[in-house]
Amino acid sequence: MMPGWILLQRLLPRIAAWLLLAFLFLPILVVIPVSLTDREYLSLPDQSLSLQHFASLLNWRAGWLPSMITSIGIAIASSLLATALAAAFAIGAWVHAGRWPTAMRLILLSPLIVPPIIYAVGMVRLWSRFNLLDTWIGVTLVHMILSMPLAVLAIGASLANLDPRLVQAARSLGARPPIVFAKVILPNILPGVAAGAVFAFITSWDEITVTLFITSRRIVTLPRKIWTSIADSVDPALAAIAAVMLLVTIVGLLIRMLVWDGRTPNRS
Amino acid sequence: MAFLDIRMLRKTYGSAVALDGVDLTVQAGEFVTLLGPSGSGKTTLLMSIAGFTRPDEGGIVVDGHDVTFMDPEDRDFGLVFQGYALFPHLSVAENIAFPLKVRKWDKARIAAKVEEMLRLVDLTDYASRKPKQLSGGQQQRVAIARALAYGPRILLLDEPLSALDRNLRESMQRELKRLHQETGVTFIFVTHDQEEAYAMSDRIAVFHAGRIVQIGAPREIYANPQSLFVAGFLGGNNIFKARHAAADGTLTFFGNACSRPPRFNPAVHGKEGEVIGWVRPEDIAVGDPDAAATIRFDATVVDISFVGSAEKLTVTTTDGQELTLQVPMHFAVDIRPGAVLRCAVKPEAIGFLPPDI
Ligand SMILES: Nc1ncnc2c1ncn2[C@@H]1O[C@H](COP(=O)(O)OP(=O)(O)O)[C@@H](O)[C@H]1O
Ligand SMILES: [Mg+2]
Repeated sequence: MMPGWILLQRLLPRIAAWLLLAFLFLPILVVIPVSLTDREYLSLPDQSLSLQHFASLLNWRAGWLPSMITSIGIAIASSLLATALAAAFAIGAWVHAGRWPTAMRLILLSPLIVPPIIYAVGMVRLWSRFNLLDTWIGVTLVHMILSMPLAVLAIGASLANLDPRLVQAARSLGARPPIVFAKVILPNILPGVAAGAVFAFITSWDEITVTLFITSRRIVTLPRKIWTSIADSVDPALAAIAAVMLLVTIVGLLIRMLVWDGRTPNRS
Repeated sequence: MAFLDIRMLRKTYGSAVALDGVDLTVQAGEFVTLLGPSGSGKTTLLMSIAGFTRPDEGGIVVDGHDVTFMDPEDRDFGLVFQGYALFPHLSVAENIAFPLKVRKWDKARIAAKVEEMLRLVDLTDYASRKPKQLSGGQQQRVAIARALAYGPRILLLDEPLSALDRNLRESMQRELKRLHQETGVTFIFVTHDQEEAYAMSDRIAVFHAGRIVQIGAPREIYANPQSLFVAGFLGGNNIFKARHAAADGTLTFFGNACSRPPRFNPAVHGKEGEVIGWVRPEDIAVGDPDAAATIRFDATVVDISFVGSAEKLTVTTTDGQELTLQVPMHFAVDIRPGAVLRCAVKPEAIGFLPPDI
């Protein structure tokens, strides 16, 4: 066969893969040069690079900083709650692998299946009845529900490698359930719990669809602030804030990867 | 009174009866094996004793105290599984220390006990290894050491050796026997492997369909199976049909009539007509045996298979019954399927079973 043909056969999939990657990432990465522009509107840098738009983020009156704090607060609260509940559910399902956990799992994972817009409409109705629209609690609870599926999946994945008989072994050795949880189950699923918490944090951090529906003036999360700013300005601060969000997400993923890799030597 | 006293234990799962009225008494320090085919209820009984399965009816009394509804944590019974169930994040020493830490022993005492247990199971050099870094046999020894560390009243073992290969299994059997003798703990051991049961037990309880159908010392059970199930389950036994003629006191089988063998009791085994007998493969001699008082018969070879220590022959008798027998390797050299062999069996080697079971 012709060497050129073989070369093409080998290279083509690689080229395709790189192109696809570029297609996925370039639009994301373009925000970084734009955020460094020296002009007053959304554009690539003209004469020089400038950090002025990052500096403007720190101006309290511009509203970026309060939104960032709101988003971080809600993301921390909702991811902690989601992780705790997800761990409780996943461990319960693991210990009693009966029928109701399967049904429960389906309900719990439904946010992954139901389109967010439908979810949003439902939540507006529900929250208006409980007077939770545009409140901290309301948003935190919704974000918690939305982050549960990923947290359950992450924790469930690390439980799947664990022998359920460990619980019986520990109890026969005299350990009561709290000790079984703290000394036997938790140490073995910690990487999954950490990964679940990071997933939950990221989910809340960039949630926009449902948040738009259930907030108005009081609770302005960062994605919501971006959303409203895009509508009425071309301020390059937008690109700066997008770069910050990107950074937070990447840091989160890095933490998750480190945790994930950190456990590999343990297992082999 | 017995140390462990189990009375009329029943457990059903929906329509499946896992335990159908089990009675069992065990003396302190005894090694009792629950032997039976898969699904006969052995694990259910063991888990009821451990406290993880709640029986529907009946009770379990240990040392005079009713423990039927006591939490497993409070029972002080060690438990060893086929899958070891070692804590993967803890080292060998930490695994053994686990029950001691739970009991809040002081540090020096824990260290001394862990040391002692490691020596007992010969794993001193492996103290700081993780379970994953040990072989199956070593992991099982850790599991046993962990279950024995705090001085349990009873050690419950559910098919602990089934995952090991044959050689290792035999050395672990000796090891378990030694541990039993050195610690004096009461062992209740579950297996479906009869050789394992013979090798270790003081007594064997044979399970069938949620009941204990026979209980006794290994040799006693082997020599005197009391039901068709036990006779068939233990040791590749030959079960055959014979015809009893009460009028002249003869039994007809394998194509000859003979006077009643010594172990035949018409009142128990059948007054007239068809009765069920059994004979062990090793009790059937081939060729021209020396002893006079033997029952002789012809049989046609159907199949020959090599089993390592001997050749296993499958033969059919002139009355159409299939038998298995064993002959030494050198003896089988000229035997081919279709050959007719002259066989002999001593009358006292033939056992009989009551008809209805
Ligand atoms: N948790 C359970 N749910 C339903 N059926 C069970 C359960 N545990 C045991 N069984 C049934 O009870 C019977 C006895 O099981 P088991 O005690 O495990 O037998 P063995 O250990 O002798 O193999 C089997 O028919 C089994 O299917
Ligand atoms: Mg079993």
